Amino acid sequence: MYGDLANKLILEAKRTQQLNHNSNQLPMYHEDLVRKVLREVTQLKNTTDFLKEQQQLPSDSAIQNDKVLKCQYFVTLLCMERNKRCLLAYQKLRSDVLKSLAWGSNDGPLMSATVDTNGLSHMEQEYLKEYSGLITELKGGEWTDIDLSGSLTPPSDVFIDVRVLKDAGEIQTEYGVFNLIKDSQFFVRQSDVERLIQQGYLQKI
Amino acid sequence: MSLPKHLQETFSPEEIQFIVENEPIKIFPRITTRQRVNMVNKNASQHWKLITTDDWALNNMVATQSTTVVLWIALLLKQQSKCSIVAPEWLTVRALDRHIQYEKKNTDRFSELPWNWLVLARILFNRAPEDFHDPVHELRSRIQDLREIRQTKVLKGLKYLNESHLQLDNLSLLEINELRPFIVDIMDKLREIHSAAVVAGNEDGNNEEDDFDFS
Repeated sequence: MYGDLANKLILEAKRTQQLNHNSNQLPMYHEDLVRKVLREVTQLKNTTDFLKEQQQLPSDSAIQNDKVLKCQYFVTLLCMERNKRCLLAYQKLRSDVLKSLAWGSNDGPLMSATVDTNGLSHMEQEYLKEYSGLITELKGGEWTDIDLSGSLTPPSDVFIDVRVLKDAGEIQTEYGVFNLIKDSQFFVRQSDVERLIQQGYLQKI
Repeated sequence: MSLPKHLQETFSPEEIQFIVENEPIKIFPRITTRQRVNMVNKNASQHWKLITTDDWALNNMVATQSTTVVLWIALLLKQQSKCSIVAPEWLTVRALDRHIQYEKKNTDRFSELPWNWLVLARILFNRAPEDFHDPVHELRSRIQDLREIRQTKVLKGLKYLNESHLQLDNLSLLEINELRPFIVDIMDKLREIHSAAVVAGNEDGNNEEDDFDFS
């Protein structure tokens, strides 16, 4: 039946949502499924065109015919609406994940774009790029002194102990130079190293 | 989205702590920052100024003379052992026992603890355990008792969830915060069902708005 394919897409979206509950990752874009749904919509569109032609044909029992045609029109329309709704829900969910990715990890002081863009459709890649651009624009505008994409946990300690997890050589942060040797520890101001913690070089103790 | 999902409709415990840290608390400073009279004019410009909070108390500290500052400053000073924090009067064995008695006697209401009692108790137990007159383990166990008594009451109260309102007198911020997602969701659903029935019944669309009373 019409709408069954779209249902599969929704189940996929549901799985993505649950996956996303635990970790911010995005499975592959279901291009073939989406294409099938779109083909179905095209078919439905052809049906309506056909019905339109039928209506214009002169027929003997015009009133009877009219009622049937109306019903057929309406059901076809409903099928299309259903497909549209499922497609949009799937896409909206994915775009929400993309947005949270763009806010979360895509914008260190180095602007390291480390999101894997293989599983995305090229439209989504475009969207992600432009959305990141919008975020940068927002941060570069009126509120430059606040790091809008910074950590959302309120600051509790001014100075913290951090341990270096990954060897990274000498890294220049805005507040000075660190020599990040693996398994060394630092006692530093939290605001200096927040970025490096986010990127996974340091571990807070 | 810019705000992660788990923060969109409730506070995280860290944010609750952040709110509580803005409350004033009494301390005994161990340093003196008050200038002597003949020095004031000369050094006035070098004095610190805080934009977030009232800096008068900080500039007028005299060692061992109690004063009132904001909790986050008190914790910072405490960390460097430049002050000792005075426990609030409800955080004593006697007062807590009284509250426990009240809780046991009145099974249908909560005793009048301050709105931040759980958070404040936890912060002070962790950061300033040596500043209490009573032994900390006794205070801890009483706080735990109070928490358990109140939790059972909350569980009892959840039977009365309805579509219009709820009265939660004297429930603290942390207790409300952990209940919020649950209660608000359930009440939303109940209200939806209710108002749908009303609209379907007599097309009388005056469904009530969210009037939960989280006082």
